[in-house]
Amino acid sequence: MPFIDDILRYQSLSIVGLEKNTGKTECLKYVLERLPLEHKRIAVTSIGIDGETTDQVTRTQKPEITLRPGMYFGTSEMHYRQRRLVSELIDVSDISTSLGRVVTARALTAGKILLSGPSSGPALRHWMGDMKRLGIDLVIIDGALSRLSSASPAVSQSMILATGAAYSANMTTLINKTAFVVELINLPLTDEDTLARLDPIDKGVWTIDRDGTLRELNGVTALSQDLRFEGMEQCQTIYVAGALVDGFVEKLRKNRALRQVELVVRDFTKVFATPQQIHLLNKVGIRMTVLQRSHLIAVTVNPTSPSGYVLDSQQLCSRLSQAINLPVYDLLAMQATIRG
Amino acid sequence: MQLKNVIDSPCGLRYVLDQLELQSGYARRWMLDQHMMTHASDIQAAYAELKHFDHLLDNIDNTRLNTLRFKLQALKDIRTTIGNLAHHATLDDIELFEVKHLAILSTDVARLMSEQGMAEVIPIPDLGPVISILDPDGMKIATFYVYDSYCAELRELRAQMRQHPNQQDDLLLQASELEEDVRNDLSRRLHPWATAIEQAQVALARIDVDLARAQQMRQMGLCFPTLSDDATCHYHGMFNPQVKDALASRGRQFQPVDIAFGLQPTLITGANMGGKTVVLKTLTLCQLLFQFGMGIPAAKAQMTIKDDVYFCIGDEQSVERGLSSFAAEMKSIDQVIQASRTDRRILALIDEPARTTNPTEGAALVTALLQLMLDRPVSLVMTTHYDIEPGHARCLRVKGFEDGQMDYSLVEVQHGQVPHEALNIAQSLGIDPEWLALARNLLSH
Repeated sequence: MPFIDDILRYQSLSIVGLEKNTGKTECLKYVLERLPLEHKRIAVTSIGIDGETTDQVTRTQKPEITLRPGMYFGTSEMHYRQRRLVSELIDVSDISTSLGRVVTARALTAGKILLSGPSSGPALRHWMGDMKRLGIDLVIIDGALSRLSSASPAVSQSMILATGAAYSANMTTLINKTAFVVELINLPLTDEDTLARLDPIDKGVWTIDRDGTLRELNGVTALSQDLRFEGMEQCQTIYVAGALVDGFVEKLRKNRALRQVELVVRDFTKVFATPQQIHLLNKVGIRMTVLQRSHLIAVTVNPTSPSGYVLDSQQLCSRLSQAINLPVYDLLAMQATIRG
Repeated sequence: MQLKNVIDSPCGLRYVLDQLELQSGYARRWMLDQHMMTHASDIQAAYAELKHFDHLLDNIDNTRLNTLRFKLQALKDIRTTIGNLAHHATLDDIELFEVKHLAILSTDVARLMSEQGMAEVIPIPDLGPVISILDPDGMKIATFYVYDSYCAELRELRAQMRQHPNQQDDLLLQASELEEDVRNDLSRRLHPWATAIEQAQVALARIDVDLARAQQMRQMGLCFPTLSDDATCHYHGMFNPQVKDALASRGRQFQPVDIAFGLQPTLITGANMGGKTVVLKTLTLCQLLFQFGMGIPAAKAQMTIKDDVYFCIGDEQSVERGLSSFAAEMKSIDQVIQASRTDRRILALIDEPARTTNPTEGAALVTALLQLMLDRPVSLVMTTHYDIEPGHARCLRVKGFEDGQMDYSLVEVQHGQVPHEALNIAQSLGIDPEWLALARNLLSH
């Protein structure tokens, strides 16, 4: 079965969709139906969408997930009370959501449950720590829609990306946009020495000179308008701890002293610069690396857009697969073929 | 008065409380809800209890201590659930889980405590029967669901559910009604235990708090106080934990202070930067720690019980509220005077009263305050820079600059005459010499 064995090599997996209706839930179902439960304790939760515009209304639109006996799951008190399966409560955590605390239980029969887990990255990490103590081998996170941060390597070791016609109905645009996200996810790790030096730093812009001196660019964030790169002839590495945006990338590219530097970001979720700017960086010889990387296991596609437009599934899979050098699956088509 | 009402007193109580290594959030909330003790028997009982925990730390091995801490970390605040149980509500699965979890936890902690000979110190109600109700299969693990063994019919339905997954929705509906009956029955059987469950929860919080306090006494070098036979308070080697730690981080040492005072007003004078305010802060801190049953930052402390503790310091909060600094100060001292007309036992610590007004009226206000407090049930300790006639008040003076070094110890003097060291100290701070020279010039005329 495609990519199920790959998932089992990691302790955590995030499934994220680039847009609504790109088949994220289909993908989660596919995974949950097929994971072997005999030798592994598997827990599933979903990251709620913290704050902002999304509320309980949107959350309750989240589809019910079907669990198999023996699976563990984390959800809010409210959704636990509405469960449609027999399950044993294992833990009531201190993590609160707008729907009550997050509770963890083990399914005793097959059945349906609405998942509404921790609603922030730190809370999710806390819950995952609890799972480790409870002896869980693999945690699967139903990521937030169009929020790649829920697949940050700070949270999960591996990820599956769902994309499709809902993200763009033009096949070439869809492929290019998806390929860019994959490119970011697959950015290479920096070397171990640089990692050890930069990992503890969580804000500001820093440089490492050829002689190894680590310096902070004073009073500067990568968002600053008045950002200047001066006296940087010795600079070998630039580290942006926060968000990487177009303005910064452009200034960096236009500085001739910085043509061979390594640009380090924490992980792919910190890159907010456009594909054009990132690609121009490569052209002038600036290499991008990350401190943390999650392993992209697979990309799935849903060729049908919500408006009803359907892309050619086979063509989409093969062209995207070629562009990203990874297997691409249309899970619905695959299952139809098997059943047919 | 509850601990949470005084935690942000400018005396630095929060600093000490924040350093307690409490294992559960509930223990902290419980501690902050405690009332200040004003009866000797309560305070003595609290310290006797704390002494048991001090001995416990001497005797317990590390593995057991860590196990105990680990258990206490799992303590949750389930007061809402207990309230529901007490009010005859039917508990849901999550609430039943919480009750079972607490019951098993308290049994585990009770066993650990009794292995250390501490069973009598903080009695934990035996919740064995509660566990039996919620653990029909005797699994002894803190998980819960409406077990099959509660109801044969339910068992049958669930078996069908497993065999016929396509009829699941119907079967689930039938099962959920049976489950609700079981929960009803369980809640009814648990109802008489509501009080015991609550007591167990409080007992566990108390163990957590006592353990953290005993541990803190060792880490910070705090002492067990004794209750004074008369109205006099004696501190030997008193120190301020926060200032001490701040100095230590700069590689410097805190100089402990000896001080005694009774009902006779005490006036502290001394050079600027002589630590007078720190003395008042620490006295306030010690009194609060004492009446909430915590270790005292001193080598030895002989203490008296007060009904009210007033710490009047240039209160920035009142100023922020729009009162002038003088008005804020007058109002807070006025509170002390009003309270002193009752028979309440009062400790009043007043830092440089009337400092922001002209010295003539200021000195008169201070002198009058000393006279007013003379025959009242008030232990008044006050600092001042004014030259005043102390009358029957005791005078203490910070030793001050000697050989270029500040000596913070307090010496008893006959008269409250204030040292004239302001210019020397300003000079040692590197303040503009032209300004200081002009001032010296003015003084000599």
